[in-house]
Amino acid sequence: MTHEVIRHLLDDYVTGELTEDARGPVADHIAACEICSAEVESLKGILARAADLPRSIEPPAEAWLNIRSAIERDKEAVAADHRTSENFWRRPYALAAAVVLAAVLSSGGTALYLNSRGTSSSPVTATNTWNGPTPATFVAFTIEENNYLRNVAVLQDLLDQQEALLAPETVAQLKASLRTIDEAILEARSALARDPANKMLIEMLSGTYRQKMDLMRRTAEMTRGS
Amino acid sequence: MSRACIIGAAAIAFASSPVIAQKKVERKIPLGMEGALRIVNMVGSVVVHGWGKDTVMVRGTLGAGDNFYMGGGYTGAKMFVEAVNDRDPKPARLEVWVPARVRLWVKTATANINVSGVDGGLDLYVVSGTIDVTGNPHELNAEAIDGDIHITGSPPWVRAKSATGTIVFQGASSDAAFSTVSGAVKVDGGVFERTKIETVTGNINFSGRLDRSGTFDFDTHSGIIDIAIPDKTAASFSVVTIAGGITNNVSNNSPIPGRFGRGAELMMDTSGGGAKVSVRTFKGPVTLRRTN
Repeated sequence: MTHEVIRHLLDDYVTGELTEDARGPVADHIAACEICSAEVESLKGILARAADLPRSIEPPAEAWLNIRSAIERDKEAVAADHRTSENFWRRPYALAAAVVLAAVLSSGGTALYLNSRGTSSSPVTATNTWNGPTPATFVAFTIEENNYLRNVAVLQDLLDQQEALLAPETVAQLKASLRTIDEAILEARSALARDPANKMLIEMLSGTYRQKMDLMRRTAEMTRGS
Repeated sequence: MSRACIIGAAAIAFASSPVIAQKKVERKIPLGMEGALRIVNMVGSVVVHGWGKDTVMVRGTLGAGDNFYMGGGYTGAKMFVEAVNDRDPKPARLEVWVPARVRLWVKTATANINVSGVDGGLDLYVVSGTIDVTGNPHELNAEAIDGDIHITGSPPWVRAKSATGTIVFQGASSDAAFSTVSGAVKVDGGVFERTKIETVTGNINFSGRLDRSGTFDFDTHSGIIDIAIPDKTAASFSVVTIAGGITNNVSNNSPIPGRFGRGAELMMDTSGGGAKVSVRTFKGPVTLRRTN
């Protein structure tokens, strides 16, 4: 058995669920392999700590009170944000600024995004910040878009490293899919630059960005092994 | 033909025979009716059948030199194929019988996955193989990169994602979400409640009954959307396009020019309203029609 295979069996080895025929070769490998030996020690430590944990924990008495007040605070914040965003779009100078910002971002942002492979040294981790609600305003959207660009860069780096693990046909299909998404983003982004108050476009763009992130994340996870 | 030629031809045929190049595997272990099972097989096929025994049984063929591992306890087990050459794995064809209520997790690269008769939870992942599911798992998550996904049954909760592959769902679900990039999504069947279908360029075809309290979201950038519902469906429609056209064959309501100066919009209630149906496209055309 190779190191790669044994790596998958270490949890069963530690919990004693490994079949008898596999136990011997795995034990021999662990004795000779520092990485697996350390992993076994770590797993034993986790099991020991888990065994010391209480079977159940009662939530503190004030928990529900806190949850309820947090919900109320959120409701008020959403209402306030709604009022602010309405007022914001009524101001002519804000609208003009947004149009300029949109024009800059539609070219600069897209260029940055298209060149993200070359600017992927950002230390930001690839957490999906797009799981939350879709940004309601153009300004909120552009902030989220920047997060997206950073996350895409990180995921792109990861996929570049893993490309050799995929079949060439799959890589070609994946790249074609990403191009399809990029073209849709460009088209919608360009429309948004002309019409920055269009909430539906913002929602559609957010959705398309989410799909790109999701496809990249899924591909990275699938090539990562079991 | 000389005798040497015949022997030579026979030797070549014999050497390339799949019978010689494969080895058989047949194993069995106990697993609880609601246990968990993980299967990894990169190339070939994985066929899974649910059955009424607290046992996992596997039969199959492996590439020459490849090894098969299966182990675990009564609550959880795993099986996988170790290829002699990771860079060029040979097809392994596994047929597996599992307790019907098992929580099943299968991962492959190009191997096709076919699951039938499993009522527990399913998590199925392929890169470019095909996923086929028949039955009513209580939860179904199927993901492919460029493979097709076919589901026939009524899982209460279902998620299916592919990029270029087609998703075909025939059945019903109270909570369904399907997503592709360029692959088509075809949904056809019974009653649906919470349903979300999104593509970038893939076409969307939906034909089914809308639960009165359900929510339905159809989003695409440039795919064609075709929604067919029975006569007298109680629903509130919000159909908005940036540049695409809308054809309404469900009622007499006509689309109006979009509020943003382009595209079209159609807001209407049928049979007094009910299910909330949202359809949004950038430039894909939308057709609403009655089921035949």
